[in-house]
Amino acid sequence: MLKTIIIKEIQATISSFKFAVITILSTTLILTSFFIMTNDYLARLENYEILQPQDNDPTALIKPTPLSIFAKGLDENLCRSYQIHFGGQIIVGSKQQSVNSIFQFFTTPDLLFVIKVIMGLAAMLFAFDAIVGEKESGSLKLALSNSVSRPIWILGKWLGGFISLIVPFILALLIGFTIIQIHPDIVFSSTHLHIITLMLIISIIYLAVFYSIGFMISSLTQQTSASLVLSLFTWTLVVFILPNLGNILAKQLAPLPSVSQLEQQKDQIWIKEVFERIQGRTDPGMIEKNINNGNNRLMENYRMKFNRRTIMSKNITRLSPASAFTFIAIDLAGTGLLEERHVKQAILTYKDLIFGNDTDSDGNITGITPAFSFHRLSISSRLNSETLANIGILIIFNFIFFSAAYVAFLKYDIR
Amino acid sequence: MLKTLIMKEIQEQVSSLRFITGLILCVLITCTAVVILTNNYKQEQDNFQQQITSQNHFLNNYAHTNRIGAIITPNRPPAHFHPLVLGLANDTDQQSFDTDPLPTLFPPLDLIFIITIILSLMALLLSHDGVCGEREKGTLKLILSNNVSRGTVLLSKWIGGTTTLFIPFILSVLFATLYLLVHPSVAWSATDIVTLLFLILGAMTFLSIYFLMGLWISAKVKTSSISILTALFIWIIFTLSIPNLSPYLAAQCFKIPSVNRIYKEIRQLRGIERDKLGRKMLAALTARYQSEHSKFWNELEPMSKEAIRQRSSTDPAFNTLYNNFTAQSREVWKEANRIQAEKAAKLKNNLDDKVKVQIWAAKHIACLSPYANFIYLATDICGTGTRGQAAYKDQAAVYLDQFYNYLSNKEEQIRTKDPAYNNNAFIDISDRPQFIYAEEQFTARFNAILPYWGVLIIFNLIFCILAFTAFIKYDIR
Repeated sequence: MLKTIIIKEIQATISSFKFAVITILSTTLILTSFFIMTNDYLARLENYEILQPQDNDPTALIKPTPLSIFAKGLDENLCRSYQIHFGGQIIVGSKQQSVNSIFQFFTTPDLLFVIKVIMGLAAMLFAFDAIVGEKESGSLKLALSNSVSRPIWILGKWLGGFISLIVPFILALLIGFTIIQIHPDIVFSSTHLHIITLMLIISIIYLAVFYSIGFMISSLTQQTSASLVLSLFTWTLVVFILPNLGNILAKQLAPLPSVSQLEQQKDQIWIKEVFERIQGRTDPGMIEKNINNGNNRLMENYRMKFNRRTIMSKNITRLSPASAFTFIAIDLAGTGLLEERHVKQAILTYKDLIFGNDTDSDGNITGITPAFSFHRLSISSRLNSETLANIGILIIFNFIFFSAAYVAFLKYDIR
Repeated sequence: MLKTLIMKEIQEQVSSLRFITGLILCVLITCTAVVILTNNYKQEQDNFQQQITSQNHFLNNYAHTNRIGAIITPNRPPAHFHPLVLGLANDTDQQSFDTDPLPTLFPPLDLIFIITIILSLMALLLSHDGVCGEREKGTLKLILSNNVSRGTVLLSKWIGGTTTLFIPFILSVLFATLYLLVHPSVAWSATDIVTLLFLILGAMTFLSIYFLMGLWISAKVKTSSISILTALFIWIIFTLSIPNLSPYLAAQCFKIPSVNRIYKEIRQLRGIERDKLGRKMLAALTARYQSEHSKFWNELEPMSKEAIRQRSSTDPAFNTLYNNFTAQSREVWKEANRIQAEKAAKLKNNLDDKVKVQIWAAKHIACLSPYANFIYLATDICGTGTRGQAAYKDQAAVYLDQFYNYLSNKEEQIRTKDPAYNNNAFIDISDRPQFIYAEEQFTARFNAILPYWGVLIIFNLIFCILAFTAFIKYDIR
């Protein structure tokens, strides 16, 4: 019986107008996103090649990851150049996008965005009339007048509808991925492929959360119009409001100095030391050390506050599955806060390694300098306790919303 | 009849679940966001004050001409509208090892976000069944069987629907404004209130587009379920696709060379290469003095600064030659700076030209969507957008010119008293001109938003015509 219900649900869904609209929209957006983000990745790769440090150039530069095509996250930030300078100062190169302020107004249209926002909405639109729609059309009475139990019926409905949602989604992803792979400059290693598979599984779990929310709303309402209104507002709340509100709340609860304030303090440290040296008030041998120590203290203080804000922001925003999904996707892709911490630690280690080398009149480090070497985090490090906790949160959300839908349906008045 | 229809429309909408849910959500979220953003604004103000104090304290103790450029940074205060419209961050151009990446991952929530996402969705929810919903219920036939034209029905739906839509918006803005006006950290002037009024008008124009779009779709299809799906489809294209894709498309069509490489070249031109050129020119000047004034030179070379001061005060001929030499040395460095600055400016201008084209393209591709037009309108009128950023940069450049003129005069005065003064010596600049950022005049901001407003009105007209023509042909059975 379950199989019959599933097949009936799939047939009913794929012949509907909403299936056509949502499939066309999601496929178009996924393919457009792949096209745009692939070109963006290639441009960043080209930029990386141009900026490759020469021998003895004390510059740390990180290669963009092809996984940033799917979840760009902070990759643009991470792949700036970091030049080690006099006194262990780190001169950070500009992001290619920093000159075009229009980028700041809008969100990156990567696959993460398409899944998180648009597929999330699609999942809710697939589910909002699953139960209430059947009730309105009168078919719910007919279905339950047969020898089918409510649990089997709701499970069949859920599975049938969800299969109809994810099959075109997976197909669109496969088409896009195949096209990307044709490009000779984009090489996915086996680790990348494992991560992509993992991201796909987590995306399906994420979409199941939204599908279950839609299902729950559908079994709590008596009219499709009410179900639609509540679904849309819930989607807005979960995808946009909770994460964005959490971010500004964390900003207030864990204050951080502004970037310009921080840079001003760094400038003051080295200028003071150089000036004191010129005036003969400090030991010339200590000048570099003093600058380095001053900067280290400043950065440690900043990082401590920053980590506090990050933890707070993560904890608040995790109330939304969309945030949990974002953290998982960017951390798995190596473009998230986890990788950011790793990159910064590697750069600070590199700075300590070459600190003390001679410098020219412009503060550039001269002489033989070891090259910066960096490896992104391994798949096991990316799947750390935090990522697993976020995956757990998504699974718990699924369980809660599906259970709520199930309980509501058991009590549902089918008349 | 129009009035009756409008009243009927308002009464129906106001008692609907979508209106009540939207109203609660909109008012709650706006109030929460404004309270949080106002506190963040207070923090920004404190940070700004700390920065000014720290800069003054530092300059009072360590000011010297040679490295003054790194310290004299004109600081921009947080914009008055930050509790409502965040726009672009003040330190958007600043590259730092430690930057807060969270805003990149989660764009902050402000009034603009509430208007563009929550209220635009609400507009579609209120209007998507305006025509087809009435047909489904059978009331459309009844209405049109009266002595009322289709145009009047549509007009009443638009007036009644948008009036209903504006209730949560106006209420939210009212609560937010009251909170801001009583908050001690927010000092709004009459101009700010006028700015807010224009922001509200702009938002109404923007929301009306989505309402008309919903009406148009509603008059094109037979059922409200198809109508809402189609409306959401277009909403996604307008709000989430075109604007987000536009900067990437522009960047890919109008490529710019590696910004990092160019900045590095500019730094080299104005650093190491300037030093090389300056030293070479100074060596030529020294050689000339060595050959033409060998006696003076041989006396000068081993002298300490103190010895130079004493000799200058007792020997006018030595003093004249020394002053000439130091003046010419300064000219040499000035010339080296000029030559290298010219080369750097050429590189920078070339980059800027390409950047301008890319920004132009990104901005105009995004303008295909009402969402982007409204974002530009809101951020520009509130001084938190690209215009505000450009105004700050212009004022900062003017201030720096003014400051360097002041510094040059100050140095001249010191040199007349102390011939041995050099640019690594402490200089008292406590009487320097201070940078006071003035927001762009309201009229200039207003003129700047007119094109965006014009586009929003055109969108309104297009959807109005589309809705009207679709409704005229609508089969009411």
